[in-house]
Amino acid sequence: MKKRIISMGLALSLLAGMLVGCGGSKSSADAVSEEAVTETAEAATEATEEAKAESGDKEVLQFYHAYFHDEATWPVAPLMRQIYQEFADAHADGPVTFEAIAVEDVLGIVTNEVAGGSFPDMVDFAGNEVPLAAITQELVYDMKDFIDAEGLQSKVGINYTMNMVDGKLYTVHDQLTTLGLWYNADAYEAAGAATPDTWKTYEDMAASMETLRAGGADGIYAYSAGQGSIRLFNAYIGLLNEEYAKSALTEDIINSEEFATAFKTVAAMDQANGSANASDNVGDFSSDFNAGKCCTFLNGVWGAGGFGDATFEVRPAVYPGNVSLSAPGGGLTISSGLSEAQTALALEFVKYMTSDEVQERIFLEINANPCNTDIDLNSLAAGSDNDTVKLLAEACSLANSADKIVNTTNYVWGSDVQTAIINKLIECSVKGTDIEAKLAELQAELTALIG
Amino acid sequence: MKQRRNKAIFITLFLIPACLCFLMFYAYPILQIVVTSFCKWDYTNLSSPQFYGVGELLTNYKYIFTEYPYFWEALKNSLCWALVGVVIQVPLTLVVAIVLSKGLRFSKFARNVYIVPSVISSAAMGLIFLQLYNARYGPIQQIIQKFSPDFTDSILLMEGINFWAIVFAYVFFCGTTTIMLLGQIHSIAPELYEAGKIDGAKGLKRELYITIPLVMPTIKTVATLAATSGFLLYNEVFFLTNGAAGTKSITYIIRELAITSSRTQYARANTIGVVQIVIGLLLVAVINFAFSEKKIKNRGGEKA
Repeated sequence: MKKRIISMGLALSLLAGMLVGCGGSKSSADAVSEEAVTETAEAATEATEEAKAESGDKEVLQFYHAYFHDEATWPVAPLMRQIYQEFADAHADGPVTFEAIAVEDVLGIVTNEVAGGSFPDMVDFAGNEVPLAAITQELVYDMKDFIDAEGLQSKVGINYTMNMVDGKLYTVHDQLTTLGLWYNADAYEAAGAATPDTWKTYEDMAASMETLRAGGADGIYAYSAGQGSIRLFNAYIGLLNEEYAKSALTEDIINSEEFATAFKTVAAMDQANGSANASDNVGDFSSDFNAGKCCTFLNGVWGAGGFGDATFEVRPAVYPGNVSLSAPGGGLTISSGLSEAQTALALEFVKYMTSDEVQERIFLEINANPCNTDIDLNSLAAGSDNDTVKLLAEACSLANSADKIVNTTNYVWGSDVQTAIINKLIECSVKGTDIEAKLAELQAELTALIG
Repeated sequence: MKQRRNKAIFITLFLIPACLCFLMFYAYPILQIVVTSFCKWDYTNLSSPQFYGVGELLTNYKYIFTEYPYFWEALKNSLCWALVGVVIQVPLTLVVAIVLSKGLRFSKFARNVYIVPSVISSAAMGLIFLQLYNARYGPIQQIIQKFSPDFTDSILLMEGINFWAIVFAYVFFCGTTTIMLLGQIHSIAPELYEAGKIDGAKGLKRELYITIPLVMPTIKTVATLAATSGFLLYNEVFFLTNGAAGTKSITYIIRELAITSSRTQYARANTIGVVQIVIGLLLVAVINFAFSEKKIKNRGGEKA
């Protein structure tokens, strides 16, 4: 009898244990994505609970951002956290507590929530696209009325046009993703190559690259291809037809003469440059550029702060034909399911982040291109004794005053399309690859992908 | 009668947790994958998949088989990696296990050294091999250039060659399966070897006629693990080529559709998931058939 009772007890405890274990489990899709964000989510939960405990019954506005790094890893991160904290402190007495939470995988958290039909209170997408699923499910708040009512159009800058979706503004990025290129002026001069500021066409650029290869020392290569190549492609297709980079990818664009010309031109340059110098991550070339091995670094204006080790003159430039790439991408995005008080605080935060004061700090301290068009970058730089700021100001001025400022296609064409184009360009960089055949493959792939 | 009934109740109670776990964490997700492969489920209706209806039931399958540009490339690669896994990993595991079982000098040290890479994640391994294959400063490139000074291309971007570059990034790391096999070899009764010795089974014959037949069930398990890990290859593809130059795998394209695509195409990803499950089952069935006791006995009869 005793044995039976013990056995029964064991069986029941097993069953109870299992039920407790299963309690509160979400769908399998949730479980998969949750695995990727477990650590950050746990940290976020702890932080939120602490905040709730501290603020009593006050509502909390959670703001997820990706500035989680320590100062040694990325000095900008603590500065951004400081900016967020100042806002939180300024509104500490309000009805809602502002809680900025640094997480490593913002997109993972968003993807996870969107799949379950919800959206975090507020996030900073840091240039990544706002998921279409969040927009179609109406999980995100339309800020247009607020921007209009407060007269913030010039403060949010190109966000107001480039991030407008069917008359609605779901996201405002306080920093712009602005791209031109950086070059080693000494290497160009030594090889006798025409510098980027003189390039009117892509033939000019190709000729310069050839001169660099012919006249450069052993181990020197002309430019960072791969991720850099799609930027060239993006700038070239924008030069040929600016509208193509503004709208979703269509079969007409894929089969257009402009698409073929841009692809073939960049692919031919990549092939001459060599597959050893192609990578889908432009950051791979950063140390080579600083070491003087890579003559042309196809990276954004934010790179200005990364040339401290360079022993040569680093110069910024834009793409052939005086074209730059600039887009806000996804930034501050608010959930549509917040209370009135939470929404008001979230909108106040958008206003704060795009204000002249914060935008000046984003330029001077964060060394990024601010979205606010009311501030004069050149005069700010003139008042600074920081070389990085001066270089950044020069790069931003060149990009902002280019004849054509083209939207970045990755934001409007989608990341799967972006990967397909980068992969095809990288494949073309191998000697002897048939570029025409690769173009035909790419066109077929893209047509199927958008289907 | 009462005792039998009580026994049945106890058995049922003990089975309930396992059954519930199986249904919730195994059967339900598989069922969901199958069901949603017949639905429209993407960014437009993430929270409510819509059944296509009888007339358009195979819409996703039609798209994957006839329109999606990467499916056949990925399927071919995954099957080839599964085959390569069996052809290379199984003999390698067997040979290493037999050598380690001899108890030669430093064999314990060698065993530990051999196992170390198995505890490194495949993602970290992918990154290590990315450096090894780096076309600008990787050691493999430098070795190639010793023999062919004009060679400057990246082997990861050369179609065909990159397939083998990915193979070498995973195929030799079979420490876990070697340990499985080694344990099995150690469990063979020494009397069998002594008896074999009297019958003239020495050296290679000893392994062929005693060791290998006796560990055949474990070899089958090793073959199954090798085939499935090759078939499900992902991290190496992602880190080494990101799917460029004809190296996509089935798992890679599932992620592409579900996560990378801005249109969050869950249903299409699940459609490929169904294909993956079916082919995975077929692979296991083929291996079971190849290692079936009847076939092995017949082969043994032929040899005799």
